[in-house]
Amino acid sequence: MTAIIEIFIENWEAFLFATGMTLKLTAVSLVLAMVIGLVFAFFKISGSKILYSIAQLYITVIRGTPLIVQLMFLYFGIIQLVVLPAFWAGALALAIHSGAYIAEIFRGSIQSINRGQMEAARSLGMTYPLAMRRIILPQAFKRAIPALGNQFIIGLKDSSLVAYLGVSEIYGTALYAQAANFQPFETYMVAGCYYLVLVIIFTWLVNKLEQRLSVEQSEVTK
Amino acid sequence: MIRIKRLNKSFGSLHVLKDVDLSVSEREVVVLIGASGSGKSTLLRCINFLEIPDSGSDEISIMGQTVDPQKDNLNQIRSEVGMVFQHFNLFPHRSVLENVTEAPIFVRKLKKSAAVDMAMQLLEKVGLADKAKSYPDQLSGGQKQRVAIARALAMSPKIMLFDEPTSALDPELVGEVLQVMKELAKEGMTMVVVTHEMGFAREVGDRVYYMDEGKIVENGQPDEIFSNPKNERTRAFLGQLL
Repeated sequence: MTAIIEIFIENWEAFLFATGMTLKLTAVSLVLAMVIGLVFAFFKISGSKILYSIAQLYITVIRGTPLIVQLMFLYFGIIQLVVLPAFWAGALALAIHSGAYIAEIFRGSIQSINRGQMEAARSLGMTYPLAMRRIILPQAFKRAIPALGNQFIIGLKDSSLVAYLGVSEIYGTALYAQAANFQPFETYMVAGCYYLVLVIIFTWLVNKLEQRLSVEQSEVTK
Repeated sequence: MIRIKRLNKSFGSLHVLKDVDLSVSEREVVVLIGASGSGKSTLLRCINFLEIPDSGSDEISIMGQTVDPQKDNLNQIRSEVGMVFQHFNLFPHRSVLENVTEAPIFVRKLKKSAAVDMAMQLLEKVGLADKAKSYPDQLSGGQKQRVAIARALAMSPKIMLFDEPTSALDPELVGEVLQVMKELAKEGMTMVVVTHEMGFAREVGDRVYYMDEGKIVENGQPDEIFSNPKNERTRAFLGQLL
C-alpha cells in the first residue's frame, strides 16, 4: 500500500499531464466520432443501396477487427502518405473506431422516432433536411444519450491503446514509470485509479445531462 | 380546388386505390366515409403527396395546378395544404407555441415576433392561448388536436385535410375538436375530412363520399346519402353504424 502511495506521489506531475492528454485525446476523437457516426447513420437510412453498402462495409470492418490493429494499420499506413503526429493519428483511429458504434446508435435512435413526426413536419412544407434538423434529430439525440454515454466511457478507456504510438497519456505514462521503477503492479494500479476516477466523473455528468433534458420537457409549466 | 382523376395507388401488390375520382371546390367541405381499410386515409394522404400516387394515375390538380410528383416542388404544395392527423403528431420537444411557430419561421421565413403574434391569435381561436408555454405531454387529447389544427392553420393553408381527427380521442373530448372544425367550415375553409362522426358529416359536410375496397361507391349531399343511400353497400355500412 505504501508503495502505491509513493508511486502516486513520485509521479503525480507526469500523471496529471497524462490525464490532460487522455482527456484531450478522448474529447477530440469523440467529437470526430459523432460527426462520422452521424454521416454513416444517414448513409444507412438514406434509402440508397450504394450508401447503405458503404456504411455497412465500414461498420462490419471496424467492428470485426481489434482496435489495436486498426490503430497500427492507420498509423503506419498514414505515415507513408502524410506526416501526422502520433496524437492526431491516434485520435483519428479512435474516432474511426467509435464512429462505427456511434453510427449504429444514431441510426437506431433516429429510426425509433415515430414516423408521424416526419409526416407532420413534411405536411407543413418542411424539406427533408429541415425536418431532420429541427424535428427528428433533437428527439433522436436525446434518446441516444444513455447509449452515447456508454460509448464515451468505452472511448475514454480505449484511448489507452494510443500509448503504443508513443503518446504519453495515462497508460503510456505508467508504461514508462514501471520500466524505471521496476514496480509494475503498483504503477498499473495507480494508472487504473486515474481511469476509474475519470469514468466515475464522466458517468455522473452523463446522468446529470439526462436528468436535465427530461426535466426541461416535463416541468416547465407545472 | 382539388381535382383528381383516375387516381391509383398500390403498396407492393396491394392495390389500395382504384380509379378514384374526386373533386372539391372552394369553400366546400367534403367528408370521406367508409370501413377501415377502404382507402379513405390513403386518398387523403395522396392529396398532399405524403403518399405518391402510382404513375398510371391520370391527374391530380391542386388549386388549378396539375401536379407531377416527380418534377414539381411538393414542399411548396404541402405548405399550402394543411393536414391534421389521427394521432396529432405534435412535436414533443417543442412547446405548444413553438409547435405553431415552427413552420412559419422556418418554411415561410416569417420574423419570430410576427410568427408568435399569429400563433397566439390561432391558439386563442382554438381556445388554448393559456397553454402556449405548455408541452404536448401536458395536454389532453382534445387539446393536443386543437393545437395540431392551430399548427396547420399557421401556414395559412388554402385547403385543410383531416385524417380521422377524433378517432383517438376519449368520447367526451370529441366535441371540442369538432366545434373548432365547424367554425373553420363556417369561415369558408375548403376541407376534406375522413371521419366516423356521422353527425358531423351530416351537419357540416357539403358532400359525402362513401368508399369501399379502394373505390368511391357513392357520393352526394349528406341528406341523400344518409337518408336514402342508393348503393347497397352504402346502405349496409350505414346500417351497421346507426
